[in-house]
Amino acid sequence: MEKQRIKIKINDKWAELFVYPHELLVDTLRETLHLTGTKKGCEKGDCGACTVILNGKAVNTCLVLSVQADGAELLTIEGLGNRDNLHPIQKAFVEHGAIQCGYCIPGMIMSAKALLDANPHPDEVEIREGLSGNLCRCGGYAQMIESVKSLCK
Amino acid sequence: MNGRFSYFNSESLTETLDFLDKMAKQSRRVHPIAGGTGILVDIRQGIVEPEYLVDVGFIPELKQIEIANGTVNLGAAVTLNEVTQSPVLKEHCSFLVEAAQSIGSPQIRNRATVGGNIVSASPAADMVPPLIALGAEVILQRKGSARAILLEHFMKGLKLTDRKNDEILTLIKFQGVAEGQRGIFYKLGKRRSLAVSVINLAIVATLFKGDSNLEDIRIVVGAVAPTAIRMREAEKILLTGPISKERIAEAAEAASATSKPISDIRGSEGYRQSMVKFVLMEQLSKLLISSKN
Repeated sequence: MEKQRIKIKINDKWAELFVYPHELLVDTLRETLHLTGTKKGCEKGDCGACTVILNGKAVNTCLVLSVQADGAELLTIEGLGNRDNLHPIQKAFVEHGAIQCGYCIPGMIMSAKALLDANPHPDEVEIREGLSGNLCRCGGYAQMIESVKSLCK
Repeated sequence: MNGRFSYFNSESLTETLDFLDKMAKQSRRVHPIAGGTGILVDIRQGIVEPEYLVDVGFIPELKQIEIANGTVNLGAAVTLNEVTQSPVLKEHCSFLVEAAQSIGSPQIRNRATVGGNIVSASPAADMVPPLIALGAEVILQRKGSARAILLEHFMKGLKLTDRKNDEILTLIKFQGVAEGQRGIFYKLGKRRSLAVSVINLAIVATLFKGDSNLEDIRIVVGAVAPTAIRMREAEKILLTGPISKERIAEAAEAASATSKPISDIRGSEGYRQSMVKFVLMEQLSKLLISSKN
């Protein structure tokens, strides 16, 4: 099986990559680009741990072929903020104690980002709906919802 | 991921159909892909083993949402999220929009398409009952020709449709909900998000003006048979005389008796049959009795 050449704009920088046709975007991100902030969970679209923003929309990267993302613009958790310069959503999560084991958090925050980009003042129902594609097995949903709420004031 | 396959994509419908034609003549195992939320899971689980995936998600003809003379043309590669955002669809078939909104999660709806929900042919597919209730037709295209078939006839069984290897589903066509008509969609799931329906149902009713009688009604229930099914016996009962609680109960009972569900992790056969009856009684009452007041 031959690799195909694709170009993706990742976190504001164009990258030229060679990927297998059957390669999943989550694997390209983690294995080729070493962007391991994006997590791999269920690998069937149930858990949302691999959520990134693709052309402005939250998607599960375990359900996107890398070749399908050719020419696309991608935002991962690494493009949002870093240890010294946290994004407001990350800061809100820290301040509200929304992070326990942390595995679901990058996906959860990318969903929150997509939600707030589309709708800067969501009500609680809309926040719950916006985060509904992300599972947290520590069960810290209440704090996450509070975190997003604190950003809508 | 499991499975090795090649990938073809083109923005040209003609080029895509040419490719499918060539592959079909070589008896290759080719599978269309659009959002990929179903097929990629199936490949990973070894349920399908394609040699080629043909991406139809970039073809502009398959992305349209248009209305002309009351007929809605819905492209097969329109995403469920695009359905929920469409003013045209909200105006002409809000219950279909509700069905789209009930599926998966935001991430899934951003990728999954209407055509994908249909051709995956899951008995619990949420877009299928409302579309059958609307009397939708699907358009299939192959190199050099196109055909139309009623969605109800297109759905052949569990993971089985009438689509041939060299065809793609391009368009879904239906009349929007007209004046005097009402449409509803109801989904019974274990939770609100990421839930496969235990049962789902759609009803389109045409009411006589100022009368409690019905001119026409279509009742379609999903997840109680290999495909979503029209409840013709129940429809007939409702159309034979004035609407009353008793008549609705009789119709719901008939629909329940027609249901032949399987037992699975989401619910037993008996539970599903009971729920068909109770949900239909509730929804028909809401639609045909309370809406009159």
